[in-house]
Amino acid sequence: MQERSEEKPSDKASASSSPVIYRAKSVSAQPFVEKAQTGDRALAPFQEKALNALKKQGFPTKQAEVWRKSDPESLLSAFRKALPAPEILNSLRLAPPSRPEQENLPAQTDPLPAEGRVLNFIDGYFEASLSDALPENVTFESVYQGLASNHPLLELAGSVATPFEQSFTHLNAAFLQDGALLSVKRNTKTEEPIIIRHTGAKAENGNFTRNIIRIEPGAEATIIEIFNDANGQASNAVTEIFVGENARVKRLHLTLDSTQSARYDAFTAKLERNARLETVAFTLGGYLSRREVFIDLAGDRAEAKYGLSAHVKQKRGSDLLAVVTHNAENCVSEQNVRNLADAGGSVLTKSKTIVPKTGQKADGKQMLRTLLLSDDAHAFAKPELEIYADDVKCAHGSTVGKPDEAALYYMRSRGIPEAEARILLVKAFLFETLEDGVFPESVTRYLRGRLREDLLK
Amino acid sequence: MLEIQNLHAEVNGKPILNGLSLAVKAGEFHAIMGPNGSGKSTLSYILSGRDGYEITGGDILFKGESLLDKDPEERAAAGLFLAFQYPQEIPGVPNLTFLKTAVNAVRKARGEAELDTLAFSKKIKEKANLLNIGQDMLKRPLNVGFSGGEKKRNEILQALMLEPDFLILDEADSGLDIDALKVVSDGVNALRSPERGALVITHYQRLLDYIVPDVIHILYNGKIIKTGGKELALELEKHGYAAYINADAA
Repeated sequence: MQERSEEKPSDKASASSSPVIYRAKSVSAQPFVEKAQTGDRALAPFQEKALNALKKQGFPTKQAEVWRKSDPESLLSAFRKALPAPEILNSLRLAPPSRPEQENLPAQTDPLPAEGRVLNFIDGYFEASLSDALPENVTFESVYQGLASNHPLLELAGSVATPFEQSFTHLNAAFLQDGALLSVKRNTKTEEPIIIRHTGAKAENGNFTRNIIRIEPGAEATIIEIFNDANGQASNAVTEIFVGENARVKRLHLTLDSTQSARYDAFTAKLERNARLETVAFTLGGYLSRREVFIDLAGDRAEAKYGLSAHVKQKRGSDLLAVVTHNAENCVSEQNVRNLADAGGSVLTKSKTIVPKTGQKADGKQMLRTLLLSDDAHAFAKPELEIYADDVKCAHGSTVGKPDEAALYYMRSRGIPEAEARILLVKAFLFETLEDGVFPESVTRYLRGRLREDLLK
Repeated sequence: MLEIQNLHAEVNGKPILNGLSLAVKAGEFHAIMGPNGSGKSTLSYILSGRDGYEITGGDILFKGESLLDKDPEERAAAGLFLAFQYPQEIPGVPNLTFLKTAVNAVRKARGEAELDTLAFSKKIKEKANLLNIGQDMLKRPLNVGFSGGEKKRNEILQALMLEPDFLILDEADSGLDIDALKVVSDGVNALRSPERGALVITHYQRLLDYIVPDVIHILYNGKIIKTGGKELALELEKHGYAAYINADAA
């Protein structure tokens, strides 16, 4: 099947060309830029670059196509309130604030979805005392330390070309506090998942974190990222993964925020020849969240699967922009989105598969499905294909509907009360992104429990 | 045990049942036979409480209480079980999870203690063996990709697990070969007891060779036009429905 989008001129298609800028009016980023340049603050090169882009670009309004029906203004105002205090801005690195001893942080008490080596971050900063040693084939440094030593992985920050300007990712660079710089050595395999857990504990706080992960050629790893914010927080989290030739990575991304927090998160990945990425994101909770995913299939025969399952209710919003670009030949991609909206919740999904002329023999699929559980829940889904190569196999689909009445009746006729039957049905729906055998079985059990709590709240 | 009194029902304003009456005592198995469109499946759905059917007259009493205001799950808890002609496929819900949820929901509603994992496993193993159902079928999503025979056996497995007081079988033999028919019938006959009643809805006499009824009713145009003993099935097989329909019209 071939499809051609009529919205964009053909020379703008490739992810390797310049990003499409917001043609619609934008909001000036000047106050943020000035704040980031406070005093004699020195910035790393990628931070300077991001600030310049931000200065030029500003922030989007919902008139920009990729922000349509979304709410960038509210997100921006959440970050405006959450910027670091001026006294800690006068250096290259934003120093960790002195944290009073807190007990019973989720990082200390919450069960984990799987056995693994844990790296704990509290309020944006690495907490060595709560973290495990990593196996020998993995190197780790915190971003905070890495900024002082010009860590080579930081050169990769922001290096994946994206087809749309990412102002909020630039904001992340400008105020970056900490994060994980991880590298899995060539031709090695990590037996246990590496769990990177970010916990927000202090209210009225902003967390600007970034994880940069390199899976060297032939290596294999499973990464679990968990984000868990307290009420009143605004987090901006960026994850960048670079998957080398013949390397393979599985990534589970759990967002389990409190119901009064705002979040922007971006995930970019670049896959070399024969590399394989399977990533599944589960989002429960949060008041306002925007997620941007850009996957660059840069080498021949690279394969990427992206899945997102989200549950939103009570006037909360979840917004996804996901773009996969087949820059090389014979690449395979799959995007699977399962959104569940209840009680005034709204879910927006814009997904896109781009196949430039260099992406012959692409196999790309998108399936966006939304279940609406109440009359005041909202959904917007826009799957797109943008294809310039002439020998491709791409498909996209989207459904929005209510839970299957016939299935509910069948379950009720066996004595299962309606509420319980609904839970069984929506669980089954959300878990369609989680294929058997990809992650340890404990992950499924853990998520079933969390989802049940979330559905019953 | 089950008493249907002058039941009138409509779907989208169209009358389907027109004064249907019958009574099944505990320990009795009754068959309802009738041509296509006579209202057999409608009757089974109405008994189980499916939405979309308007009761315009009459009543259904189960153990002396009216069923009409009860939700499907309340009817199940009261001991009613419908084995569907076309069991619903439910992707993503494993058969075993579904069964355990149903068994414990019904036990809870009846004020009985829930079965723990061990007790449940023991029971399901025993019942599944009876129906030649293997572990694989129990782990698969409910009815998804099941053959016609597997679906029907799975319905009976649910009945054996839920131990209802009253069983309604809607075309339990459709899509079954002789071997499968025998397995399903053995499962149903295992449920026969002096405390239990059943309504066996079928097109053909064949099923009644295996599940032998005490009483047979002929349903036509939404009401019972003839009631008799098990020999009625053989007469029907010989003369067809037309003889009875014409007699009723005359």
